[in-house]
Amino acid sequence: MTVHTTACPRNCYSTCSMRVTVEGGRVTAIDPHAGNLATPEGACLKGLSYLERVYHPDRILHPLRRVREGVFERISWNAALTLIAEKLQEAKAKHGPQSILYYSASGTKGVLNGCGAGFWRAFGGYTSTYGDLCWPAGLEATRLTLGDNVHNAPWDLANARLIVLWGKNAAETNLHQMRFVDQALAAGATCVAIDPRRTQTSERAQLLVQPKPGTDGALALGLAHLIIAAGQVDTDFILAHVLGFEAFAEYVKDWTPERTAATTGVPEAQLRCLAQLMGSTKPLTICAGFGMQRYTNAGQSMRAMLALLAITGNIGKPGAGWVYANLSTQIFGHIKDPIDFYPPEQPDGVARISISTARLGADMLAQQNPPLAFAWVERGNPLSQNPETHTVRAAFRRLDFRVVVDERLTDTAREADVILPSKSLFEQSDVIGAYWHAYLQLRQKLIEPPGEVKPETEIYWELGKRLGMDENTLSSILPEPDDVRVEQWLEAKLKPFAITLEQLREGPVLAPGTPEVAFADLQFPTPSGRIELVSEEAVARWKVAALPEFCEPVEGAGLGKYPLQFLTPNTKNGIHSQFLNLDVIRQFEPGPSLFLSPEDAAIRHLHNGDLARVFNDRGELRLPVRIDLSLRPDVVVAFNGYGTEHGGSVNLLSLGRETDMGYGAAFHDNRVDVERG
Amino acid sequence: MAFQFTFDLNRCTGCQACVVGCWMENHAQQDLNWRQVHTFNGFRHPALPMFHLSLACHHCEDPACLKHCPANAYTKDAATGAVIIHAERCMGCRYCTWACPHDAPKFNAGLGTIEKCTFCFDRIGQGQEPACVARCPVEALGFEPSAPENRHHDIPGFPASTLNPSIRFQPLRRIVGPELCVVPKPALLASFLDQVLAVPERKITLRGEWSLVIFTSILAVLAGWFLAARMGGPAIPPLAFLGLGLLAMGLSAWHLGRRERAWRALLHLRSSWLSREIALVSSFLGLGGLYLVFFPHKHGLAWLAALVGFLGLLAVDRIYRVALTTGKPSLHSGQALLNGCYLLSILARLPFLFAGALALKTFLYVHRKWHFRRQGQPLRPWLSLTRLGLGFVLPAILWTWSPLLAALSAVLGDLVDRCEFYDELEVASPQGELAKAFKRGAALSVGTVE
Repeated sequence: MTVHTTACPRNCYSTCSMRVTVEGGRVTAIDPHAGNLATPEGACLKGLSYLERVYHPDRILHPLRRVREGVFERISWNAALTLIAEKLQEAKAKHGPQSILYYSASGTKGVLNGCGAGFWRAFGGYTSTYGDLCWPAGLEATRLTLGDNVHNAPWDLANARLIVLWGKNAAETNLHQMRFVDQALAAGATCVAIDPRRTQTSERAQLLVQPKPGTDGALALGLAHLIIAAGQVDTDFILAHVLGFEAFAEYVKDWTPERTAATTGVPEAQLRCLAQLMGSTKPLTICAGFGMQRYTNAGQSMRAMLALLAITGNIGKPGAGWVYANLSTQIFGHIKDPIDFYPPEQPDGVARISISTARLGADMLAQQNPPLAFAWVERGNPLSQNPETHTVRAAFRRLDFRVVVDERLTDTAREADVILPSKSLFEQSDVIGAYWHAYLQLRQKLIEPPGEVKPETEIYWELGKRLGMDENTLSSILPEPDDVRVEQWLEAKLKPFAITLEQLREGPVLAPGTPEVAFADLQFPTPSGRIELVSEEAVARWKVAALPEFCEPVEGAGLGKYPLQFLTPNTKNGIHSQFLNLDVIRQFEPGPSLFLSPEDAAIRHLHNGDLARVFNDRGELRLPVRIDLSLRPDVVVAFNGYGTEHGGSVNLLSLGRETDMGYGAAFHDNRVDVERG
Repeated sequence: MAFQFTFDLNRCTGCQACVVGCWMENHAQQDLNWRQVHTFNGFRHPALPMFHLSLACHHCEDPACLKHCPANAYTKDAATGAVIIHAERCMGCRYCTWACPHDAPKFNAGLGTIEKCTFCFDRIGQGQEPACVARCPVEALGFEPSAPENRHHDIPGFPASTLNPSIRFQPLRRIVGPELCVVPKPALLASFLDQVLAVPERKITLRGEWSLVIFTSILAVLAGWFLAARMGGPAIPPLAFLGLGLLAMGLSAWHLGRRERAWRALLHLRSSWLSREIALVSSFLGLGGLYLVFFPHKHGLAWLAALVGFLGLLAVDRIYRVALTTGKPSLHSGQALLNGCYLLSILARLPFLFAGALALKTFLYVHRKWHFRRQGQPLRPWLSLTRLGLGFVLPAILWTWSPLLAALSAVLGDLVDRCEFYDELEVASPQGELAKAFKRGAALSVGTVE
């Protein structure tokens, strides 16, 4: 029996360190690793469920070839790679290398993920995506305002006197943050939640502000109006460190409590109460979630929220600040997010970065010169997780050939001509970063891959040889398929930062230069060097107002013909479309539901447990109704992550469109109606 | 050193990692989850907080499971305080699942025995915390040396008991939910409450326990008739006595998870009424059989058998005390001892006993119906009329005319009552207590919700 340090590589704030017990070549236990001060008490149930997931009978252990729709047969690696190489050569010869779409998403973190793009470049070229489904609008809003996406150490939240969890359900999506919320509350702090839903997180709050989805910007402006009117601004801080306060103050004059209440649906009394709390309690930390920045007005909304911290002087101090994204561990590339998401200003002729992730289906269909013929998908499940499932499916079906690398038969894998099995987190070493804490961690190889599973780098190596690439070329972009070579490759990546694998084998290591308190020196890497409430770059780059002005979300606020806002959040039981198939998880969440307020259920004569049809012009789903007695009326909720085997993805109803900035996906701008199913 | 769990309601988010952490440690010997997270107000009633209780076995200082187990399959480890079930000694009678208000013992249907939380006995021995505590990501579950003070057992949903469970709760800092923006109108809210009220699955049901209905009813008949025969009533045919006796014993063994271990029922006379019942009932049948078949002239033997028979009925009734829900007085018109006495009075023509038993049973029956009616449960008038007609009216008419017919009618009436008795049995459980607390809270909130 041996015990090893490793880390969970999922697209999740917490990125927990773990101590994993291996007995006889098998993982038998997963325990906390105290060396990670953000997650010292251990992983959530998903992290613990790897014990089932890694050995799950549904795991794909061999290459599969599609025989007909939904039916696959096992083939050898040799047959699979030969077939793929043949199809690649065919597409390249017929249309050129840019007819190959390389699509990768956030399924697994790791430095080795970068090898994919290198491989396709060496192949001669490819087409890929820009933007991101997740968080770019908020990242860009933060970059425009503060200059960079860093924040105080996770544990610093315990120092806050007022915590505003704005659109963030940490208890389900960043469980470990709740420890620090509790520590702050135990020390006498106050917590406020802003969320149309009453969540497990908002139970810790004294006040739950439930705005109409997509109106967070207006809420922030209305709060700023009240704080400025009450003279609760930090004048010294503003004078020294904030650009554009006068213009901002002038603009928010129009955001009276009456107007704000009418726009956001938040009662005036609550607005005043929250403004009083924010204006008078220091230090204040706002923890902003990802959901609300997936609206068409999202970047401007986030800028307005950031302004609240700027005018009250809650930046650069312990217990204060903006906890959105901490990119301290993005040290390996030349550029960080969100710039990393932007299409290059000058295409290099090799990589064609021309497909918007937000509009994946439509852009794939529209692509010309050359059109797309072949797709390679890894670490992603766009058929359930990207907007507009119908269009994405149509776009994939129009291709000549599709390869999907995955652990199980996802909706996307079902569309593949060849499915290649992918490794689990215990089957290849890699170095991973995080976006809440700033630890670099070694995700160690602890067991041999089951069946014929090969890590992606090995797949590329083998495929490269069949495509006629020589070993020198391959070894310049990939580690050779050998555990020692992989570790050498990682060691070389770490070397510039004076970090060794030996260190990481013991436990997580903070990325070099990580601050305990972000912006403590009050130096802001913006064009003006100050916190920018007025941003010329916002105007130039995104064609939005220089001030964080509010405009209604495209489908929001009753403008369309559908009366209900469709929220599709994550649950604690899954990370997007991962984990929800496991027995360990399904005992707690057997399947999807549609959450309705009593008002909306009563109008439609729906009872708890009835089957309902949720629909709009784009699609429909049939889901059992669950009554949520505290849900904001005009809002309905279904968790995302479920696919065809559970009746379909929530993205059958969403539309692929971009956010106002950052090339994010505004797929939460989504109105629907509900009727008896 | 004995230990206790701690549980902080302010920290638990209901993430279920404790349940999975326990599974990770114990899945080789675990069929059902040993730990469960119970949620209060999962449907988010605006006037009430939402919170979770992660409960397993609390390794009580006075464990009911151990006390009531007839097979002596439980032990308490002096060093750690752990209450341990020894599956190899368990006969699968499931009585501990009734006796424990925390729903800790779980019946493994595959093995036919009980399994439950072990306090991670082995881990404690190695200086580690139990797996659930070690793997709680938010420090809601804890582990510390046992101390009787400030345990805060008055948490809604935690069943009140005299068992001294080894757990200390940290109560909620805020006992209300957050102030909301929009609260549904009371009438609208009320119209949805019935739909969202969690009705916990019942542990004891008539359908599940039919063999015990027949077992206990036969015992009452045999004990009553045997004594009546001694006191001048109609003789009891030996074949009927032995046949019914064997049927009863067969049925009582039939419902066990491990029938071959039925003999173990005699191993815990010291504190288990179930053990005593089995001892007394077997003795009654044995002595009664000896008397009827081999020694019909040994009157002392007959009196002894009769006495043991009635003591057996008393033991039967004591067993069900843990699940009787009649309110005060905690007597039931369908109790075995009363049924035995009633039958005795009819067959032996004892007018005072007959009048007394009839009056008491009628009073208890009506009283109980009233009690359940006030709790909002259905009255089921036709069943009640059958019970009253067969059990009381007909015997009263037939009594002087034909004791046997009167007795038959009384037995049928009592059988109906006995069925109702099993239908009414319920034991305390966290799920039940949480449902009650929710109902109470929702009712109180009418008027406070705008």
